[in-house]
Amino acid sequence: MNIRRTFIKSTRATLALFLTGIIVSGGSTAALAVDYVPISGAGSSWSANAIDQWRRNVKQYGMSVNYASTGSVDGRNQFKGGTVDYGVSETPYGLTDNGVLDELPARPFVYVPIVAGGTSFMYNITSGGNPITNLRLSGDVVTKMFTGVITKWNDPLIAADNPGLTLPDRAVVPVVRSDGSGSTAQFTLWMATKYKSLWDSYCAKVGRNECGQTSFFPTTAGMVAQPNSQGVSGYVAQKANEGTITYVEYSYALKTGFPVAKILNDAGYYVEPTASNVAVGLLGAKINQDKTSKMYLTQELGGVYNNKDARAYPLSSYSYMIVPTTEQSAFTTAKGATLSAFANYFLCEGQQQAEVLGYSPLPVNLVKVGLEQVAKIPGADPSTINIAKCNNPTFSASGENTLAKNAPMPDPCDKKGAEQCTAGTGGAAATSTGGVVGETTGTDTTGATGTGTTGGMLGGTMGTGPTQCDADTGTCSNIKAVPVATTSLGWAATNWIILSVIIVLVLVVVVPPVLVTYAARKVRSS
Amino acid sequence: MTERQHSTRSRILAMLLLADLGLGVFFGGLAVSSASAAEGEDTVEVVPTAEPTAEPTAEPVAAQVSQIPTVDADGSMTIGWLDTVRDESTLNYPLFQNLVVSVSQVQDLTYQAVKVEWSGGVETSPRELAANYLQIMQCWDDGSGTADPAHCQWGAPSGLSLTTLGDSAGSRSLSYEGADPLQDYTGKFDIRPAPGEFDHSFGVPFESSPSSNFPDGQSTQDSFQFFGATTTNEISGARTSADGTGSTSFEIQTSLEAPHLGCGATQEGGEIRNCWLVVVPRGEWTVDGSYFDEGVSGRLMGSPLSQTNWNDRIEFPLSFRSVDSGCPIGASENRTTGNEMIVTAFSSWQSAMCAKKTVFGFSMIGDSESRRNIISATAGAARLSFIDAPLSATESTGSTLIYVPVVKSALTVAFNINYFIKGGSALSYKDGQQVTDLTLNARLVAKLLTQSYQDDVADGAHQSYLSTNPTSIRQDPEFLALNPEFEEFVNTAAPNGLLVPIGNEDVIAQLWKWVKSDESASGFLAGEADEFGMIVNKYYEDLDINNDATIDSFPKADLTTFREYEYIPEPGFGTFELRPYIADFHDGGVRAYRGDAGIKTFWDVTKTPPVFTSPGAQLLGRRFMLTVTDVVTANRLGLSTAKLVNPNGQAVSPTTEAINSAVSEFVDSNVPGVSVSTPTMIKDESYPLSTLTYAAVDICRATITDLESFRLLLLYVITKGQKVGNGLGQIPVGYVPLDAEQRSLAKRSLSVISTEITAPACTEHQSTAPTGTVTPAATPEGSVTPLVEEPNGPSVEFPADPNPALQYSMLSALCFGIPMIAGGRTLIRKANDL
Repeated sequence: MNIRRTFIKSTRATLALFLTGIIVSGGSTAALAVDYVPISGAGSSWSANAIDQWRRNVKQYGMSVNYASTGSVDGRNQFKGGTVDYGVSETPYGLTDNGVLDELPARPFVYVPIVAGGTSFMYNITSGGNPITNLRLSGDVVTKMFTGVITKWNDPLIAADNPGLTLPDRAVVPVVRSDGSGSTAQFTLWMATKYKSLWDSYCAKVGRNECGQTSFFPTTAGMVAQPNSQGVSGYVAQKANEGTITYVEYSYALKTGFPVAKILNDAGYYVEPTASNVAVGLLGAKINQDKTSKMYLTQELGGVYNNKDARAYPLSSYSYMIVPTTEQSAFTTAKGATLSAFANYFLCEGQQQAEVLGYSPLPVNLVKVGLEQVAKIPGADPSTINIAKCNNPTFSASGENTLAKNAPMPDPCDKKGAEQCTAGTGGAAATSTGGVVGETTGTDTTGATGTGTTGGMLGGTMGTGPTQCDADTGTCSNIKAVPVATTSLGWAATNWIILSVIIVLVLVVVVPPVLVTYAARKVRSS
Repeated sequence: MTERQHSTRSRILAMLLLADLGLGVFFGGLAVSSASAAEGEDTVEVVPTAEPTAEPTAEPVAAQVSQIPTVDADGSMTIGWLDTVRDESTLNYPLFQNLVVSVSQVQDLTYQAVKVEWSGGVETSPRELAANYLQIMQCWDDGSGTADPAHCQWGAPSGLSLTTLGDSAGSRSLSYEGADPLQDYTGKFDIRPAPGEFDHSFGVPFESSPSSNFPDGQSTQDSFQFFGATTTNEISGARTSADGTGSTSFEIQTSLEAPHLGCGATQEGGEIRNCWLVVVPRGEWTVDGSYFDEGVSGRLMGSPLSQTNWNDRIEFPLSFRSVDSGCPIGASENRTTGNEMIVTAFSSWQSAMCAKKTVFGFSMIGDSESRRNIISATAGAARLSFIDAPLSATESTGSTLIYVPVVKSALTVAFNINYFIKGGSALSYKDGQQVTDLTLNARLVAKLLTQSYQDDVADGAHQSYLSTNPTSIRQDPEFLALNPEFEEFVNTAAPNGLLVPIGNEDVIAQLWKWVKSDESASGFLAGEADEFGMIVNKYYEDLDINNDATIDSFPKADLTTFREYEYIPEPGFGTFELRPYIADFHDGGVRAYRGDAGIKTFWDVTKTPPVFTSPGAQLLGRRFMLTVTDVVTANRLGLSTAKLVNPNGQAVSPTTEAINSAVSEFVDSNVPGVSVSTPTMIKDESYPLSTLTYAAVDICRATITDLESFRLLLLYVITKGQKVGNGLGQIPVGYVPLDAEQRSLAKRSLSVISTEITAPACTEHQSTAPTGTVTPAATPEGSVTPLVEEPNGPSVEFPADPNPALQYSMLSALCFGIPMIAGGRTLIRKANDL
């Protein structure tokens, strides 16, 4: 009898054993991870805050991406010299700067747009001991501040832009980049285009006739030159450095907690380089669509500078990654496979992080052509590069840029005139400067940002995952927790079937002997 | 049927039955073990023994191990040079015979630093690496039982090492044919001149480890396509002190950093690639029998890979954790933000969650930015942020925030300093060794952070406002009183300032609070001279840091500029070239490890246009680096951490106990249960810069889908994610797990999320529930029961790959089932008969 008990007990134990095995299992088979090799690049510090976050996030996919934020000029030179796998720059090769032609690299390459953003004017000025955080400037005033025409903060021209502020009698200290910089190139191009006579006369004054667009800012007395975006923003962010103003990507102002000037656009509004205002601004950009051109996909920004939309930020632009299209001794197809996977990531999923960091996600047209370029990298896996699977926050079914379409209109107090909004900007958004706080319609309208569109719209036409909409806010988004559609299906179907099969088996094992024994006992007792 | 036939048949049947049941049990066992293996990264893995697999015979003159090295209880391994059979007639034999080398960890490795220490060596030549030093490298293992020089990451020394090393000593080059009587100069070692050239040379090729990209590996004389000076981990020359000892940290690279070595990668056949750490001692005699000072440079010549030198190696077998992430790219990421204290832990959790199909994206931003972000109306803003302090009552009005404590750690001042002892000192036997102890008090940190030493200001020696101040911390009597060994340093030894990052973080505010809470430090900041006449840099006095309640960044306020020569244009270089910001704490750690502060003070006229460039990294063995960084980064890079003097006057290291003690003294914030750091500590053992990081979730602004994934993440984080270790999902050393109280707060907060998922209370969620699109279909396990209440909850929480477990279960069931169907009746009857 003992043996029988033991037998039943052990049967039970065994059952428990494999049932446990079943309960703890679920889900479906993981796809095998790809073997990536480390890649390294150098260049733009304007883009560095975005690139650094992408690098950090792709670690989870087993990817090791290095990046040195050494400035656009260095990035272009290093790529040309073959010391890096990719370069990042705001300006293309082939421009003549300070009389020197930046020749094309011998190694074949293409440009891939990576992220958009606004070159912002971060400043440090106080009034009566309190930091001013709502400064507004018109374009010619900015130009005059950086060309030695306006030298004091209490200049009547600055005051005219800022009816709500009393600015101190303090020297304007423009902080410019000492290294070869894409930010400098973007800023000087804007000045050379919009305020040519001011810029030309400054260039002549400092002995660099017709300097036009340049990566090396011509300096003059009273100006401070610092290396790198970190250098210029770090310099302005020193409490003691009152009176300073610099040009730097918006993310650096957010990072250091300092305000940026709202810049007057052609519609007569002072606007901040938020993600949506940059997106609107860039609707005016002309992209070189000539595939045979050496400048294919580079930007022509005249239309951005003169964009008539009330929300457009005039100094909006995007930066490029320079990627090789052939193998070279140090650039193997294995590296190409990693580089293309990384590019595919940042053009799609990575753009989701752009806004939080102080950038603006790339619009669909740029992502589309960007992906076409990525496919040219040796080792690229065409099966993974697919615009339909691209989770970019600006996409919509109509092809319109969601972000631009839903960008909030500027507050009336941001219109050129006697009224001035008091709300802080950039990294100092939490503050306000004196006076009556202007109507913050911006907040109300941002609630509607993404109305019925974010990501989901694309799903309608291109068949991405399910969309979830919030009836209250109208916000739609892809359901993010179902990265692999078969995951949930896997449990629902296969696993339940397996479980029921097992239950049947268990019954088959247990029931007959028990029944037989029971019957045998009955027989014996009778 | 005869009796005999009958018994034979029953015997066969019984044997079949037994075999079958045995098989069933076997499969059952497999089912459970594979289920639990897939389930638990916290199960202790069976580590392959570190012993060489076979007696080495592969090479003609392979090292013969006479004593098989074993792993010590603490995971380290020690090998004496004479543990291997050596040829007594070799010229360098007397120099090496007493050498004993140990490596702090040889198993279960990941991307990390290990400590290499040795004794019984001969003192390195002064200043340069002319004779008697060690060369250290990592090589991949081909299963032959010994390291192959062609498999080693070697030959890409930094420019500066080159200037102190003898010809070819840092390279793969084999100089001229026949120089080394034991070396093969034919075949792969023979580099034929290109057509039209006459440069016939010899070298050890680099052969990469086989991988999916190159199944047979690649052999090349151009190793730079695989690694260069900035990516290699080779140590061109480590110095031995007069007492024969030495130490250095060594960066272990996995296949992620060095795929050409492939350490930790799964090979075809499923085994994880092992590697070697090879130490080649260099004596005084070159391979051709000449003495080191006979050469052109007066330094020992020749590659360590040359056979004669190679035979002198000591090799440590290294085993690795698997680096395979099993997480394919392409899924949508759930966005989160957070401060830098959490980055390394989150990276680990992120990979673990990714392997479980819930993918997260992380943006590292400052605490205050995170606090703004989490309540921002912007669609798509991250709804989970890792921060050190909650939102203020004003900020959080109208928000439904919960806080989940996730992990503790600490900020530290990490250092990489070699003893650089002046002649005739009693400490000269330590010259070149790593300093392991350093104590800093609040005022010393204040001095470092305010550019108050002359070295930290452009042309500081000639600035009147610094004239009464020491040139560097090394000359400061206050520092020397706390660290008397530094009295014996040469005068020129000094750090490149204290590296600090740009940006704002709560933990930086905490550092300032600690400094300001110290009476002597706050007095110093206010302009009071210390006992030796040192005063604060006037530009920092103007900042009035004592009264700046919101300071959460490191100012660099001295704008002095300097140009050494007339031809350098105005204004020359300033603070941002001399003492540049580092990007973040991790960057500071890496720079301290490499001895490169990123200084740009050398006017380079060869550049167009001319610019300031780097004067180069500090020399190996002559480093003096200080950086503000997190304990985890310091530990990972093998940097030592300074003891900081706490408010009770005790010098404390950032140990687990010290961090726990400090966190136990944290005070309540405006949110009940959420405690935050305080500068007023009373316990002797409390470490002043300890941190406790919270995950803040905005319940109502997050969608139900967001909440589902946050719950999965946080549940993992507060259970399995609390285990300290290098494994997937574990928190690396330097993090301190939550205690019971913090865990229970975490669980309470998590149950709020669970409740909101099952019974939405937020108006934002109620209207969406009926659509059915956000139901838990999104989570694979389909369970929304409040698992947080379960102490060991995660066993049913994180479904792993079912296939092995399910398949084995099925097989097991079949094995039991079939005989039961066929003979269950008989069996039980037999049992009854007994």
